[in-house]
Amino acid sequence: MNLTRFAFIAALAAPLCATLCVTSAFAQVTPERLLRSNFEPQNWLTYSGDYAGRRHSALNQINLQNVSNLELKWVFQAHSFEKFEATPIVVDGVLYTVQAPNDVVAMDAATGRIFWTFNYTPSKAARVCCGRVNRGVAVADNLIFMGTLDAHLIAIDAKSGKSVWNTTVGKPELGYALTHAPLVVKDKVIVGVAGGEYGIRGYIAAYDIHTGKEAWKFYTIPAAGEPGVETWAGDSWKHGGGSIWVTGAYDPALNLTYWGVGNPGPDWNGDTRKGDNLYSDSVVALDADTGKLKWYYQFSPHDEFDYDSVQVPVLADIELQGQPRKVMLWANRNGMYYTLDRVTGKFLVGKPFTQVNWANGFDEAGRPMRVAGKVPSREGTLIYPSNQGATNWYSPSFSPKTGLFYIPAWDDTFSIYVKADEEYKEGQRYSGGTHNSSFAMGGTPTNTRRPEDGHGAIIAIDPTTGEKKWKFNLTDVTDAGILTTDSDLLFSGSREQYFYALDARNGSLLWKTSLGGPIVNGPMTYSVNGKQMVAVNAGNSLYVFGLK
Amino acid sequence: MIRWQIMNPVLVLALLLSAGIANAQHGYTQTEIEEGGRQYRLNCINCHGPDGNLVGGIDFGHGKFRNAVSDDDLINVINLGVPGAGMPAFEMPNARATAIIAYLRSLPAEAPVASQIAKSGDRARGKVIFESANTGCTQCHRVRGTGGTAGPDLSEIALSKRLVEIEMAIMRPGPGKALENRPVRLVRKDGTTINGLLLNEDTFTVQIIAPDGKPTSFQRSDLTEFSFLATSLMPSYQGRLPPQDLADLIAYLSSLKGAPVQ
Repeated sequence: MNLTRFAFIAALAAPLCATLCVTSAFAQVTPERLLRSNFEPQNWLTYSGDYAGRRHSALNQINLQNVSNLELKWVFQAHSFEKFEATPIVVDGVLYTVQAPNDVVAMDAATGRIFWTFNYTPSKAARVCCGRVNRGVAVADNLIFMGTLDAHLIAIDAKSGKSVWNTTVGKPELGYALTHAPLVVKDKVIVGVAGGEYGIRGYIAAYDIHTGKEAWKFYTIPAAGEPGVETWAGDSWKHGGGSIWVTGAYDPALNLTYWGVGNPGPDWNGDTRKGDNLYSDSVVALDADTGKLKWYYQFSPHDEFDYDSVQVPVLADIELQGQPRKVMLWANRNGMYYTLDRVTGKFLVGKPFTQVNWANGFDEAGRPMRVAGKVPSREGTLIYPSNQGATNWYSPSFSPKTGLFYIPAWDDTFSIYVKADEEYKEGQRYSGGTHNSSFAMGGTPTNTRRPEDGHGAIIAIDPTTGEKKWKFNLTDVTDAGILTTDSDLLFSGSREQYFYALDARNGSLLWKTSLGGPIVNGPMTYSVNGKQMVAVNAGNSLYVFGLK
Repeated sequence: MIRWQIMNPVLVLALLLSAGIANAQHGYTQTEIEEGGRQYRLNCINCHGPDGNLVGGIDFGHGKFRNAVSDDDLINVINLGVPGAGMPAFEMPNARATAIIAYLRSLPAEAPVASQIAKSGDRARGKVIFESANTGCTQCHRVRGTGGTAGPDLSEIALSKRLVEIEMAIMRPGPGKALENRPVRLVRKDGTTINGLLLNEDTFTVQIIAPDGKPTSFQRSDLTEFSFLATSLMPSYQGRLPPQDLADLIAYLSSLKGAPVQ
């Protein structure tokens, strides 16, 4: 496997930068800086650290030998009891994060001292299925962008913390919400709407970064007369779900932006929406300038298990069967690992990474072959993996150094699905049944799980084959993302309150600390005053570590 | 074409038999009802009580609701609350609310005979029985600061267990399906074996109530074995207590609702 050209240059530049790059005043974040974010690894300019969604840093000051010398440098305690899911961004020594639900906080990345807070109270009409959360901001020019629970997109002056523009993206009273970090591509800021449990009709939309004016909109559920609507029975497309709640990726060479699409609605009863239900549970590749669909791949046709495909699309250039390929790596909530051709969407590799009983293989086109009878029923049907999935929105990571793809996994968890009849009612939940799962969303202060309920794990996959290379088992399941670095370190967390570092080559434990709260976000790293820091939220606080 | 091995069919059957048997009347599974019981104890029991009859005009065991008839009505009450009536809104996923309803629908209108007797049992006499050397309850169990700690503290047992559940726990104690207080066996590297009740565990450590009643933490790296026991550490009292003693004991235990508010 070859290193990507970008990663290779960044790897060379990183040690130099770690010593020479010092805190400077906030400089304008141009489109070119975002394109070349790997050349300034002291910053973390996007939700996933780069457009490729790899959550991998070229920084290497913290390494296999000294990681055990990490110590806490500072803590930011959020004034919020909501889950702290935001990944901070760091721009030239300033760290921006979101205190749930919708307060943006700017602070000194070296000390945690606060420069300003932008307070925003979402409308009481806002309704979300699974917590009043926010996963972070985006930056471009001198602006910080945040999506809000009441489906507004707000641009904030990065220096003063004052609102510059505020655009309505959707109707909160109908269940539309914004929870993910926006993605800036050139002169546009792109977001998608959450609300898959409220019978929304999902979309991804781009807005001019300077005016907030809508530039394009792509509906994840096609309307009457559009290609794909034939995959929805009757008028079911009108409330078909297809939400967007995790940040997409971007390939500058192809000018394509990739987004994972959520579950069809109602969740657990597909009787009224017979058909494949495009483009739910798919990845869509859109022209970044126009929003036109270039290709799609559907992971779970006619899903009745709530297997949102909202995972971060991870882009890598690897050698596959002797050929260099531009690929997309994807561990899906449905239990399968995929390698796709990101130019065409062609299915290249597919393999389960945990126990799966709803499908037993793929056909030549990459369509999963269903197991008869494995559908929700009135009396309950046992399905592996569970409703929360074999993974979920938690960021995976790809290391060009090891060539491995790392998955935060829920291994061998299951749900019993019971379907029920449900009619769509505006603004109300639209789920079509219920489920009972071996692990629930959230968690408890103590873990007294049954072994048969499954467990969490970090799984390393070879993307050329889908084979597991190693696995680090956790006792409880995990809601934490994964960060890798050029020094072959892997950082992640757990519900069990641990923040830990593994050897990315073999999964051996190198360091751990207990932070006193569940980790429900992905770690990130940056450098300030020449010193590499690693940051992660636990409980209601942001913890920043550096070397002693 | 790519295929892979699906899960062990024996395990599937076992799980379905244990967890997927539907409640005949409302179509709820046993697993849902158990989860609902857990959620009920977490969210509802403080106001509605263990038998669901502490709020005037409401008696879950007899299907009496003030503002709801159908399951949909109940989901709305749970999610939106009842303004002005003291019922707060509990914003929770549908599945959780549905599980609670499954539990409410599963509550029997009448408890077994011993529990019925217990309703008229003598609590004061039951306290004496509980504290007597004959039963030995206090060797392991504690109430309001008095008694042993090798078993669960029973000071608030009436908030989490219904009469029938208390009766069953005395007559037929088992490892239970509950996650809390499961009997476990630990073997240390020096060969020492310790049986206790599980309090918590994570990837690196295990916390139990040791036989001496002390909460104790172990590093997994110091253990050669950590396993769940198939039987309870508590002896059965089946046939060891006259019916009236049992009724009095249950009456006493069902009165334990935590420290009195000053």
